[in-house]
Amino acid sequence: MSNYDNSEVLLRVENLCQYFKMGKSELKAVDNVSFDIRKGEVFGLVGESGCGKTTTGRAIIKLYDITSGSIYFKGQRIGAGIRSYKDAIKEAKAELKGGKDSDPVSQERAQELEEIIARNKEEIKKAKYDNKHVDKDLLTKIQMIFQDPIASLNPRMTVKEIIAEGLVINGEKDKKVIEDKVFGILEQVGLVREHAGRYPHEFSGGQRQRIGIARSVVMHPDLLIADEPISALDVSIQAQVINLMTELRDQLGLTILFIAHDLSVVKYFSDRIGVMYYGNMVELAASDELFAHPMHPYTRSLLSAIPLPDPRSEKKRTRITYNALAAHDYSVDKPTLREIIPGHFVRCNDAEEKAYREEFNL
Amino acid sequence: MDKILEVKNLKVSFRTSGGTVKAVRHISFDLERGKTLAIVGESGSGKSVTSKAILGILAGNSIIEGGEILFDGMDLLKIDEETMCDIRGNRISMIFQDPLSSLNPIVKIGRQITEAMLLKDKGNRSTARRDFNDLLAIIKENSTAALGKESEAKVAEMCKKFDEFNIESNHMQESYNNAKNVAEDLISDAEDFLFLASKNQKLDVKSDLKTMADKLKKVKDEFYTYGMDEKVDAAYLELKNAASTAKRGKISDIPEGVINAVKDVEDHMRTLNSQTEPDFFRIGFYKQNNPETDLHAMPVEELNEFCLDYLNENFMLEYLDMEQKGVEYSYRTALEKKKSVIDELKEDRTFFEQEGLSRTDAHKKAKELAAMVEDSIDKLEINKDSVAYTFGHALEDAIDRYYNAVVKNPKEEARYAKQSAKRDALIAKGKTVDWKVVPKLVYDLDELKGNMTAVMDNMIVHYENYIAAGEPDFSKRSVEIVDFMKYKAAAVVHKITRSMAKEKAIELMEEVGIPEPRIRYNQYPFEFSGGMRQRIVIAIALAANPDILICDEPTTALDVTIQAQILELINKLKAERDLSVIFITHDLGVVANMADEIAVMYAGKIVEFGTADEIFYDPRHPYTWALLSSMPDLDTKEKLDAIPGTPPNMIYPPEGDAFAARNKYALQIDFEQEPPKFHVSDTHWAATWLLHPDAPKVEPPRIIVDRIERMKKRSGGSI
Repeated sequence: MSNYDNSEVLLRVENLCQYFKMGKSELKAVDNVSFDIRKGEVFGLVGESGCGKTTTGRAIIKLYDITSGSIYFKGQRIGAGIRSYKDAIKEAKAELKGGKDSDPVSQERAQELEEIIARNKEEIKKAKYDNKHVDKDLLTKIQMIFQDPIASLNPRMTVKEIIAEGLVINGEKDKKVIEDKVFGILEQVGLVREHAGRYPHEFSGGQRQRIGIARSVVMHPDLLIADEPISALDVSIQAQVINLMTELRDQLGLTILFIAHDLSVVKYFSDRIGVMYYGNMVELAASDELFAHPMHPYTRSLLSAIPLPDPRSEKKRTRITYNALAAHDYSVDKPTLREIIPGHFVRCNDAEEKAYREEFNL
Repeated sequence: MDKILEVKNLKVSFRTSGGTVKAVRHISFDLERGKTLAIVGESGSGKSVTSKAILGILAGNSIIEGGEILFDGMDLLKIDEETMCDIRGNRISMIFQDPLSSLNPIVKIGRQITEAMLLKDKGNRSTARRDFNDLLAIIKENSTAALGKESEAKVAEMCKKFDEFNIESNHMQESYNNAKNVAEDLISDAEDFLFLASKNQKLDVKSDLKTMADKLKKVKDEFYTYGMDEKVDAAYLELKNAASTAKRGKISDIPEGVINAVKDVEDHMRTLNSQTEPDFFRIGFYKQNNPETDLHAMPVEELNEFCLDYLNENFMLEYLDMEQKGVEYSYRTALEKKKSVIDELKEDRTFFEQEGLSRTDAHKKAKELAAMVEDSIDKLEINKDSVAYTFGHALEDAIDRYYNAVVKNPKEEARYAKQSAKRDALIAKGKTVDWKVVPKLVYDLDELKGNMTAVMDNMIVHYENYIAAGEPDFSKRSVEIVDFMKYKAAAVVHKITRSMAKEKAIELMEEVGIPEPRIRYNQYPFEFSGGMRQRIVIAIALAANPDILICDEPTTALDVTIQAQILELINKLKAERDLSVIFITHDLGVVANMADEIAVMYAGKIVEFGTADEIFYDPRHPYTWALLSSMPDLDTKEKLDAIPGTPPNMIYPPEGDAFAARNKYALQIDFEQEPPKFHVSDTHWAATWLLHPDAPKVEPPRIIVDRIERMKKRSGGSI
């Protein structure tokens, strides 16, 4: 159980879908993912590469136009997709028209369908309005740290320019204020004032990632999306960056969406963890709970693959393999994300839910 | 223990615009056959440089300042590029970090795997013929000398005969091999055809059958198709009929009859391939003397026996006798020369020890000695005497190093004196001086001089041991030589065709766990996922069946699950093929399962060395502590012990313990003097002053103590 159960929900993601066009077909990078992040907690998102965790993060800060679903930040809808409404309209229209050999729909049903179409059209209008009239100030409260500290900093800007860019864009004109803020944040992330005039190439990998963190934290965000912030760093530097993020979180009361594939780090850093597999959220629970009682076979295989600095137990370790086709039979009963234990969600169908419950004596 | 690779005092630097970067500073380790050595450290610690030095693929601005890498009796740092090329890939192979950048994106996977096989094959064939001729010439020379002038003509005739009938048997072998290659081609074609047919893929049946029929026609060798002629002919007719009746264009619905015909062909070819191979070495001689006889009436086993008897009676025994005399003669003359070499070397020790020896004189002498040693090598030994072969190089190298130091040392002294004087003068004036005098870098001349005689001593001991070992069995040795020549002769006509390489590649792909290799063979790297790509890289590395596999961060770019798969795969292959592995990584968690021994590197030096259990359950060096404690494991709750700062600039490597500046346990002496190796057990040592008997007792960080405690509990306290 996390300590943040009672605090307000900061970010709510509902049925988020993000599809990419690939020629004639579509790639479902994120398919129907829902979760919420409470104020003050660290929410970890894990999964193998290509499972859609980065896409989720980018969709939240509106780097993509989402295909379907809604994203609420502080109660306001900041992102909305219209695909699901369109599909509903299409379906209803098809039914209205009726196939060649199917019976014409009854009067009542026809009226119902008309209503559905009208309602969905209304929703589309609303979604389009929300997307267009999103509160810009609110969006600055979500900031992102990128994976690669080398590629994500403009080599032609000084550190000061990089950090101040967000402030300037948001209308800060007073040079004195900007300077104070930049210097303040530099010291906060463990750099010194003198670094402000230098260029990114003059820094080591760890320091560059600190600049990336400073750039996002200077906007006083409420939500920080950290997209694999330590994967590109050296072992010794990784610990420095994790410690820095922990400190900043305590000082500034940040809420963090932490995306990573290193499970030991995610376990250490996060309060709750969501496990993603091929665009779906397959399990979501408090981190201790997830590691103590993994339910979904994919989570189990993921946990069994973590290498540990312990030769004896490593030699005995057996890796559980996960084959999505062999592990589940979803031909009849489609799976959904269900709450098995309070706070512990697993993607399963009825039969599996029963099995999980039996396994844990619930 | 059987050491397959020894690295001794390796020192590598890089020339850069900022100065020389001392990337690897005097490291030594041994790799034992069938074991895994893990090298762990952060980036810039010199792990990859070490592995690249072993493979001889260092960047152009690298300078190998010293040391030896001994492999199979060769010093890999001193051999020429051509020899290195034979070793690289064939004997020592490497898996690179990033599977994406180590595969060519525009070449199909299959071609990339077979490329090396085909390339190496061409080279092997041309060298085989040369080796054969060289060896025969040496035998001729020695035998003539042994038997005296009067039998010169006889020896020459024997050797000529040997050569000639070998050529004859080579012709037969070649024709046989050609037939066999086509047959293997056919098997591969038939397999492809049947596989695609079973998958309901569209196939151009007409043209496929036609090519198969054409190939079947080429499976023609008296020996190869012996006893199967009729069946093969029948299969040919069947194929041809099927081809003529098949429709043009791509068809997905293939009639049963066609499938059966192709299956028949495959079966026939497999039976042919499984037949005993006739020994052409024997048959060639018979054929040469009795060109008219038809040999195909006999079954292969009988034929082999018959020809062997014939060969022995008429030629081989006599030849062996002659050759044995030659071998004996060569051994004895070499032995005499070796004895004189020992005397000479013992005498010349004083020559190199004398004061004021000039460089040219030393080199002149070294050349003389090298020539003598070269002369004293028994050329008819199949297992080459590596110490003797590398003697000349080693001695010249030692001399060069000594005289370079003689020139450089005074300059360095002068510079140091000048700088210190300047600094002292400034201090005397009462100014604050914020710079340090660069410490002087002088070589120990006595040690370098000692190195020269050490090379000679080594040679003397080696030869004395050789003489003490006594006479070898000459008849056994001469048979060995014949076998060796037979092997070389066969290698001349042993071609690897594209389709043979393909079959081998598909086998390899199956071995590394790629499903449906027959389809995957024709795909491009981008069609593979990260894990599959890394498997391909491993398959390429294994193509030549190497003795040593170097894995340079093979899993860093991969996900946890894939990482576990790849590690399991490497472990499996290691056990199956008795590979010795050097595993380079910065993640200690990864090596726990892999390594037998672990070397922890920092700033170009090994700071701790031990077995996996010792490093994980009883780490001693603060850097090892730092590495272990900077990564959280699943039970970590407390704040991480990050290593402060960054690795030192290796243009100016720090004095004393390189890790001292980032080490909270550092003692005063760590900043001043380099710690020696302190042995904790026979297999475990660490270079830190903390292990000195006078050092204060320091506990490792809590996070590690706790973790080891937990691990002990988990394994039942048996550590």
